[in-house]
Amino acid sequence: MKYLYVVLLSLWLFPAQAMSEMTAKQWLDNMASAVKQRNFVASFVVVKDRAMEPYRWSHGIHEGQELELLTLLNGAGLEMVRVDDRVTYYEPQAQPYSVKTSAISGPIPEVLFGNVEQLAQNYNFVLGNKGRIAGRPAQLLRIEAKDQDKYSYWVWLDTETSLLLKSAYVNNQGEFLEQLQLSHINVSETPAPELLEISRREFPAPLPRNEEPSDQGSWQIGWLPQGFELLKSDRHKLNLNNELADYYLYSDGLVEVSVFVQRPLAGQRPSGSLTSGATTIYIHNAGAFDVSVIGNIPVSTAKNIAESVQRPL
Amino acid sequence: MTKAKCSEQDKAFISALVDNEASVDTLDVADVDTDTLARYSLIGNVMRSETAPSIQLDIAAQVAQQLEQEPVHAQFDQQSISGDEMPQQDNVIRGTWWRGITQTAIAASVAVVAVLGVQQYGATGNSTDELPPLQSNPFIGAASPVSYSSEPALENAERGLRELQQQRIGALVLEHQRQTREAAHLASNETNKDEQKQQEQ
Repeated sequence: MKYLYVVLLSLWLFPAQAMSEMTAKQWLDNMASAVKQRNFVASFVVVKDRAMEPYRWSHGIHEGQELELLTLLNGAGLEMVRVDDRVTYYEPQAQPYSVKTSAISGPIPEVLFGNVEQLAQNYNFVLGNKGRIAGRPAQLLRIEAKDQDKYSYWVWLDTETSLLLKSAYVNNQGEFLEQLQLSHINVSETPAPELLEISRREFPAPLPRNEEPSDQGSWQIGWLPQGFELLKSDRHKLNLNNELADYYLYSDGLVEVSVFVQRPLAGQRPSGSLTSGATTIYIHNAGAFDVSVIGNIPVSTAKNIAESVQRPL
Repeated sequence: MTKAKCSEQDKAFISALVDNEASVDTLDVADVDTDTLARYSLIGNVMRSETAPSIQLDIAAQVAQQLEQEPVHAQFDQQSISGDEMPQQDNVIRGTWWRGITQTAIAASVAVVAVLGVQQYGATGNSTDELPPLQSNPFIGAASPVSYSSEPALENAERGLRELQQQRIGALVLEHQRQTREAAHLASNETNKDEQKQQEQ
């Protein structure tokens, strides 16, 4: 009889609690679907150290097609267009190209528009405080790295629409390295006119999928942070300077890390790092070869990866 | 008799003597400082406008006259040649002097740019503290600034290397960006494969 009361009590309490407060993961799932269903036009800035990049971001559904446009407003310009599951990138230094994917690879990690469940192995989802961002009531959600080798990612969502209002890469001291902040968002019934223009545009065909299994390459990468897996590896020439590089791409679901192994440049150059916002570039001079590691990871992590690269035995 | 011994009393006496206000005593005159006497008498003459017309104030004319009378020590032809050479030499000297300054200035500005460039990237703070930022300029390193500024070939080589490295970093960053974009379909590929596997199962 006593146990029955406990069971009944727990049955009564549990759904009540779930209704009153969503979990962090539910919030993130809501955002992923809201971003794909709403018609909105937003402006945001990405602040990296002393640099600032303003973007315009619009999304809408027109005649059953999902349209998304993300434009970098400063400098020579960068335009990213998504029509359903084809993303086209327009850049000043390269021919436009399309990729078959369901999310734009821009300043917001793509995983936030997809299934965040795949991050659960390496990150904890933590419900944070409520606050006010861009004039809207906001809920903070922290995607906290489980170890010190990665940055955490914090997201502030509109409590009414579940749309993104702010996000930031946070190091383990709790410092914001790179912040994205909406300055304005307009949710409307109909898609913005610029999106209707997109639906009539011609796009380059998506790049062919590389179905052949990735060549493991000849280098031994001795250490990687927990949860990073090889996405691809090959040997190719870099677009800008035509230099040959052995290339490895790793991802933990949230961020990608590139490892380049190249012939060394002449002269005695010390190893060292450059950072811009959350992005770290670590260049390791291993004598007979140069290892460069790039990604949104702490400098110490990039250094450890770069120094772990060895010639095959 | 020296001037030091010419007291105020003596001067008063000389003054009176010159102005005919004192009688001349041979013994007194012998004691009088001759320089002072001459000066005082000249002052008296000027004041009475009795100066001799022989006093020449046009020194330039006198000097010119003197110069014309000077014997010629060298031929004018040779002088004119050396005169042409002199400014050239001067120019050369000034040229190298300027070059030194500008070289230093260029070197300094390069160093400033390089340091600024590094700071721009390396100013994230704590996480980078224990790790050295990339030294893209040789001033901080072992390369000596002397060789840097005095050997143009070395300077060019170092600058070239630095440009090469910056170019490489730029190329790597762009490549990373492009690869992460293209990787999106790799990741979706994998999830598709997983789904396929699950469906097969």
